[in-house]
Amino acid sequence: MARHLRWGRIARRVRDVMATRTALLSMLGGLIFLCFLASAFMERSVRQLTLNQQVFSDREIRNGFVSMSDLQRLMAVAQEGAVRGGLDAAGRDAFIEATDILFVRRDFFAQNVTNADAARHAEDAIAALSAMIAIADAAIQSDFAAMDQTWSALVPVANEARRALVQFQEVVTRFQNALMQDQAEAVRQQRLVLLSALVAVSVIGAAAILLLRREVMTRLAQERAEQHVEFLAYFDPLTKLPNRAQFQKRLDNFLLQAEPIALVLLDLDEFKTINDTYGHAAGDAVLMRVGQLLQVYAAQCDGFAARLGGDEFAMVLRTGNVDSLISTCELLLQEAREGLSFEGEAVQIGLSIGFVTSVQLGPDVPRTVDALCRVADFALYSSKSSGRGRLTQYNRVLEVQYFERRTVVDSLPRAIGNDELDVYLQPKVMLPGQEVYGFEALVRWVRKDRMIQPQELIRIAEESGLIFELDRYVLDVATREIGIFNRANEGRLAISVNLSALHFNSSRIAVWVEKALLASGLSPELLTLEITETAELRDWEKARRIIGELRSLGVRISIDDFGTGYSSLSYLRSAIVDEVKIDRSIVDQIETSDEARFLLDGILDIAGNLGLGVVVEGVETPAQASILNDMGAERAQGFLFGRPAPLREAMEALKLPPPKGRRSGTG
Amino acid sequence: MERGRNVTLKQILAAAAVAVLAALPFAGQAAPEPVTLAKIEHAAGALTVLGPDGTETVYSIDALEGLPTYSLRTKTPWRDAPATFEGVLLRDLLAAHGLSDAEGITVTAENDYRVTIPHQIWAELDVLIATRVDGAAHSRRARGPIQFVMDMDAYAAHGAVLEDHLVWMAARIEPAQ
Repeated sequence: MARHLRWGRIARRVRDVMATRTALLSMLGGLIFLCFLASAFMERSVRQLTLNQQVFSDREIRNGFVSMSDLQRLMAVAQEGAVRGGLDAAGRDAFIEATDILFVRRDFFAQNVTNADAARHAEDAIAALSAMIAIADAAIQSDFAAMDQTWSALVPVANEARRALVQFQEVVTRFQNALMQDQAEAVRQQRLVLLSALVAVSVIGAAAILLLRREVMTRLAQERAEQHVEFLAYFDPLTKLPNRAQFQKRLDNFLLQAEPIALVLLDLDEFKTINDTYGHAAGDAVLMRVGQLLQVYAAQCDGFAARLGGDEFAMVLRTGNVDSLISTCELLLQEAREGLSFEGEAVQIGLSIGFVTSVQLGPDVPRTVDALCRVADFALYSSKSSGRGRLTQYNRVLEVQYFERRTVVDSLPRAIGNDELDVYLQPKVMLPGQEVYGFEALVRWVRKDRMIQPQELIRIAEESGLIFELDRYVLDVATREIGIFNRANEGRLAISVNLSALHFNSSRIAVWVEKALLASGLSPELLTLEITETAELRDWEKARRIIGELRSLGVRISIDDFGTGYSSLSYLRSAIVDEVKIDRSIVDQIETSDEARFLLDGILDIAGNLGLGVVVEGVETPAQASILNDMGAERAQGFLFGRPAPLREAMEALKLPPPKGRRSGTG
Repeated sequence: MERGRNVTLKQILAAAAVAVLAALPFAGQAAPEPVTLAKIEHAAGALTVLGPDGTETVYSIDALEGLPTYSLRTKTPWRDAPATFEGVLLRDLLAAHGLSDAEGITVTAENDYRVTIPHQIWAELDVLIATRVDGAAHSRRARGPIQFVMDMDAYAAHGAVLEDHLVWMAARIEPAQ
């Protein structure tokens, strides 16, 4: 689907780019065509103007009136000769000059007639002028003998020439006017073409700029997106630190160099609690704060910090000096502990650190990113399991422990499947008579002749996700065996089974409990489910709902280890539990501490008023039992009344009269 | 030494190239050549020159030929066949009257034709004031006796010169207003 969408996006993008380019090319083509049209038109206009200029030769225009002037010059001299009855020397020269001028004029006129409409008048004029020249030449030849006759001969010819010249001039002038109008029209058309071209160029230019702008903006956005994708590929967007991918790449580069390096892995302690208590914004602020701190510390050692995911961080430093590394990490822990202020609340930051330097690695550990991370992880795990907020450096012992744990995790599913686990029972008694009214079921695993400690087993199971199978196994076995025992002995022994808080994320547990009850035939009220509240049970609404489902089956809910850890009086108020089980730490101090006694007294009082059952755990001495009895506690559990014993053994013991020594000797 | 000769050769080649390039636009053009003219009988005619200070000088054709004379063989717009024109250079005449640097001159002909010739024309072109054609006096009927002539190829190649500037029957020269 995503691939299909991506291809769709790419195809759309290609279509957009092609459309933009096609539009730009079309515009460019249009512009070129327009320029071509405009230039063709202009060229035509210019050619026409040139042609007009050539046709509209001033010589031709001038021909008419200059000829008239030249004609008049000769007539004036001739008239003078006629009037005076002859010409003096100057007059003769003037006559000859005027004749010569007219001669040249006639020649010039004859050479410069281009207008077809005026040609007839031109011919008439030229003929008349030629006749005048002939008369004048004859007068010159006769040495100006009869100027009066010359004058008389010249007058009609000159009149004819003048008439023809006037008519010629009229035609040429009309032609001139027409040409002028043509010119004016051509200029007007040029203006129109120019304006149209300018408008078209402006529109096309604006459209092209808009298209180009869109193209540029799209490309910029694409580049930004690509940069962002690249950033996301190699950086954590929240802390701006390199992410796991870049961390691995850079660590690999560091390892290629021969210099000693250190890998420090860090986990935020109780990060989920921070998120749940102060909100995710606070969680983000904590992550950013840690990111800043690590960046500063890493820079001091010419290294880099990275966020590997969730609340996991790493620093790669260029140092092989373990002592300085320890002091650096301790400073870091100290500075982190100062926490930060978020919306007026002080948020504590706890870090667990595990580190390894390349010089600490044994010859059998390869200098690879994976190997280095693995061994640093042993150290980090060790810090977390030894109480968090501390620093551990890698050593071979840790590695051995790690492999052991791995083996346990690997073989646990098979152990559950093959019934290799043992269910032990520890009696719960009524005070003061110490009659056993039920048991708490506890799981034990002997692996290769070594008993895995219960707490370790539970922790491993929780961390590896096997806790569900483990708890269900104990639930099934315990209810089945107690059911069988009760039916065989017509008894009503109760059984308590521990449930991890991890169950309260899913309703599956209610189904399992129902099946166990059906399979065992045990009365639901004889089954008590003991829950220890941890950080994981903070999604209280969901947990309430699942607890409600369990209670609706008729089973009892007990809060284990009450008075320590996360347990609170809110349970007592919430009316979703039936019993609280008071932690051994309170009972331990009951003989010596007034406070412990007051606390116990208070819990008993409140629980009594709310109708809750109370079981006191960890009773080891008769004195403690006596005090509890005096305080009104009705139910108890502890070594005083019996240690956890294998299931069969515990139930067999109930059938025998209780030996005195057993009850008193096992505090 | 080798180097020096190369440089010299280069310079020669460069100079030759420049000369060829410079001559290209004028290829086929003839410049008026100095000529000594024997006295002949001219048609009646005179050329009046008005100097910048207002002094008028009237040249007879003989007097005009007192300036350095040149010969130019060319056609004119009114002659299909080339003819040999002789006379003086407009440039020399204007220089003689302090008009060399004038922005332009106005020339008037005997038939009252008037035209203004810009400085560029006589500065860039050899304008011959012809007084003789083919060794004889220049007649009025042949557009004499005083005619402005220039080599037709140079005339055709020049962008600013007009047929209007080829004044015939020239009678008066004065600074343009």
